[in-house]
Amino acid sequence: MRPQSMNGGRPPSPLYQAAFDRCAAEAARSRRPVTVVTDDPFSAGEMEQRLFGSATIYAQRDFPAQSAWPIVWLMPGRSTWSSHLDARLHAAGLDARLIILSHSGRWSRLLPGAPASSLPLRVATAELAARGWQVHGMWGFQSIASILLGASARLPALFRRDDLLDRWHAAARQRFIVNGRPAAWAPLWLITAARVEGD
Amino acid sequence: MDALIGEAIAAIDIWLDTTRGPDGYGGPVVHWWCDSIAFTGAGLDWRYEGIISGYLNLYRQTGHDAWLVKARRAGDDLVRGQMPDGRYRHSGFEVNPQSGGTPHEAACDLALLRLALALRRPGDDSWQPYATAAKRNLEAFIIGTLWDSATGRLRNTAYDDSFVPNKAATTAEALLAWSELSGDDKWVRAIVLPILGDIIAAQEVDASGPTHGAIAQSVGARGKNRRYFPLYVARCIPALVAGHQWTGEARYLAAARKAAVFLARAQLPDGSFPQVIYGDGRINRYPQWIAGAGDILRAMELINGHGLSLDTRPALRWLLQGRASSLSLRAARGFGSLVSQREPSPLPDFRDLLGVAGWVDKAFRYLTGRPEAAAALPAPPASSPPVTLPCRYDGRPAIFREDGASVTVRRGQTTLYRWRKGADWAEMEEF
Repeated sequence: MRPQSMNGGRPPSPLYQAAFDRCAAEAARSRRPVTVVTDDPFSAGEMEQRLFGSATIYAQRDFPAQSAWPIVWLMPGRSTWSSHLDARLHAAGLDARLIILSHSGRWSRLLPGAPASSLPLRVATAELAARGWQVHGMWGFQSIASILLGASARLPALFRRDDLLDRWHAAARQRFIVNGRPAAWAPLWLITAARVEGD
Repeated sequence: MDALIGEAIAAIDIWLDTTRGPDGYGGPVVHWWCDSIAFTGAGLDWRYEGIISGYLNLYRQTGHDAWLVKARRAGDDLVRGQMPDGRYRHSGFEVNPQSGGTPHEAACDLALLRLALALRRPGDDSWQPYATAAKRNLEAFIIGTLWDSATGRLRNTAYDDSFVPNKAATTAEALLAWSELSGDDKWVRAIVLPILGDIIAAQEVDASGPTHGAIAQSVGARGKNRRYFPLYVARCIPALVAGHQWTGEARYLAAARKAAVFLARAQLPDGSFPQVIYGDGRINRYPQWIAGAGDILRAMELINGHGLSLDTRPALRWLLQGRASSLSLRAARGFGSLVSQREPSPLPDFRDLLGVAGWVDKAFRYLTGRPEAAAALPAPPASSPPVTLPCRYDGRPAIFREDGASVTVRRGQTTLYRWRKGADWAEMEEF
């Protein structure tokens, strides 16, 4: 039986919906069982719902060093993330693939109910590179452009131009996901990385 | 035209089979509100309303059991995919893989109940699992969660208490189907008739205004949301007609007629319909539904049996031209113009070219319900040849290709998007 969302049945906001969907799509790419690592129950529920029993979910302190690849690491948190990297992933072989979804630093404060754990994208990519991981994919959810368009939609609303308002919102949606370096400015980011060299 | 209709039905039937995975009919979803193109697994949403109704239409017209087998297979998807709380898995359509989608849950109930009605015969209880699943959802989700007995109004979702006429209309149809099956009319009196009253209250009555007869998209604490979508206005009409048939009251039929006249007035010279008309008469034309226009045609022909004579031929031509270079039927025209609302580029957005089960089902249901459908059906081809077309993806040129196994969008050597049919998730480009 496939599990339900752990968000009390309430759908996540478009931000998280887009991020978890993309994360699941990247995890499914390997067509193998997936290891999900997170201390965040909401993220665990959303990912379990999307990976339909092909995922084994661990708390950060519990996941074994010899876990199945790919590993989907959700909301790792800045204070402990590098110690987990060193403790659990240092022995990863060249087939190892890592998918990380995290709130960014200052920009995640834009989210309702600002998250306790965040990890700036540039910190994550630098520390991964230092440990022999190469980033292949990089996405940000809720770009600066989409935030600005969303905020400026008050203008057509002020003039009661619902037709323009709908187009404004459509433009914001089209710019919602960014890839590459602009992802660093988004409140939520996703990267995929592969091990390119051993210790 | 008959040959085109038969060919379209046969093609859609073959194409629907290619979209099946272990849990049912899958594939990406594109919509006015948002898209769900990453998730491609089975969506137990309103696609099942048209798929089951379409196969039942073909069974009734031909008497061939093969069509009933396909209707039952779809019904089994819903029964198997029902969750412990009564909802159907992945019923969010444009927000799939979420569940609890509206009107999708009610549309699945309606499909199951029509299947149960078709199967019910003395000494044969094969209809019961379908009826039981629908009743569970009606009790636990539709009435248990969406029906607000304090206000006597159907909520949009568990978290939004606005009234959305087209969604409520689908619920009304499902509850009427339950009454027909069970002989119990308590829900009709307690819920359906108040819903129909609220739909009529949401109808524009200013005969001099540009939206006379249209039904507002929603009604909330701040009054009517004066957006009028022809598709959604059309989806109110069958419930109003059914309300008239159940009560004999003329006001339901009068409201349905006014809504249909609005649709005819909104229709463009090429037979298409704009996406949305606003209270001040302005329109956002794009994207224009092609496959989804099947529900508008069905409503117009339904009302033609009740004293109007609307010309449906231009809309039928519009729908059938969506077969061009498609394994099924194109979703829309003009997704690339959603923001600009300018005349679409000759190079279509890839979303226009997609066959989407939850839009194709509407054409399938309409076409199979036409009287000439059975006679027009050609011998089914073994398979369909692949389709390759230039398109735009994210605003830039690319190549769209579909065959029985996948849909792929490429730019040069880069695969931008791939839906392996039957898979739960699409593959999208990295950098």
